[in-house]
Amino acid sequence: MIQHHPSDENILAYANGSLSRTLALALGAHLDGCAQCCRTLNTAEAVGGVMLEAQAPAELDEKIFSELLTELDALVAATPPPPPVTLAIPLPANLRHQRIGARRWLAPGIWIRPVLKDANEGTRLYLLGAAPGKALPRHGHSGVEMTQVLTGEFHDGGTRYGAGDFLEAGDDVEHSLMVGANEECICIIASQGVPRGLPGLLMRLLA
Amino acid sequence: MDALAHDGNLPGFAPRRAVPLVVWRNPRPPSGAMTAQDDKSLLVVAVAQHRDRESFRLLFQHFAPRIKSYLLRLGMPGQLADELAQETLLMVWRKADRFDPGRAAAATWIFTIARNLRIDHLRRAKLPGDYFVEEEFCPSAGDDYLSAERDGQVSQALKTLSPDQAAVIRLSFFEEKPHPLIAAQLGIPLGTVKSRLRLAMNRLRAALEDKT
Repeated sequence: MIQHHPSDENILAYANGSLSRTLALALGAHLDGCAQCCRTLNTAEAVGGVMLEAQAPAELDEKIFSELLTELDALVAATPPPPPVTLAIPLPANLRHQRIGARRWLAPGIWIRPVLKDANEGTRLYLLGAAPGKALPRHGHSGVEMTQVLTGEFHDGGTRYGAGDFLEAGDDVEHSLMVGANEECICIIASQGVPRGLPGLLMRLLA
Repeated sequence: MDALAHDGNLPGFAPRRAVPLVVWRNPRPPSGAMTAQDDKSLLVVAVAQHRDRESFRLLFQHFAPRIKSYLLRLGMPGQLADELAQETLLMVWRKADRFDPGRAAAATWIFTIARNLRIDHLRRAKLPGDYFVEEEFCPSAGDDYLSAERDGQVSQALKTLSPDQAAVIRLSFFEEKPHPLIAAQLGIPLGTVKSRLRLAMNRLRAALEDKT
């Protein structure tokens, strides 16, 4: 049972295409397994459809349609997507065609696999795995961070986040996370800016 | 929507719900607006099944100028907006067989295509050579509603929003303004923008859930 969901605000931003790509992938990883948020997304997209219908038509160049007909006759097949990634991790459908980087150890029992880095937006997307019982020291963020739990569980103070749960943290949040005792916890994380308050080595690896 | 659910002339598109249940869920006759939406869905189906160019032309005539208008409103230069409107319709032709009239109205489906092409364009401009795969990963959605019906309901529910809520939805959704900018433009605190958005979304959701 999923307990924690993305905010309506972010689902709306996802629906209108204004969420940055890394954040959109983290949120998409949640949507992959959450019927409730998919309904919210569908509602938001239906708003987009209704608003598209309500647009005053702009003037279009006549030749656009004839060009289009010519193109229909000569359709080229799209470039095939890169082969699906096979990892021993149940990846959400929206991540299966992403290039997943090599595993790097941050600390004993804690690893990351970089997925995407957007220098323009200062956002990064990565998988993070932590062994049972591991603690991530208290830290803050200089921007938004979105975390989708893929397997296992962690605790943030008194709140439990299990597989399927989504955690949004703003730059005002400082937290220390503790992985559940029974299994490794793997999350897909999109974050903006740099973490604050982590030991220097961890900071450099995450940056 | 009822036309779609009842029309036996659409092989391959069996209604998702048994017909009596649909009637029970939607006892009112469909409004004119919903029938119009419905017609667009039938055009996409005709393109998918018969590669019908006349249906495609009608879809083009209706949607291409509106897509262009949408893109212009988001600040895209005219020529580029022409190109992306053209590309959107090309995608409609190519992907028509993936359109599921039980899941979304044609306008909603076409809106998402235009939106994705626009995102893709902005990305390519920033990260050349970056590969973007458009994935369908909300497979669990839509089963609870017959969706062209839902779009009609969303359209109705939007009219019931307070002017404040409607303004926030419109600005944040369609003109894609970041929330702090909306706050500045409306002269209200950021927290108020967020709470109005939440209230508006609750309102829309409630309007839809009443029907199930």
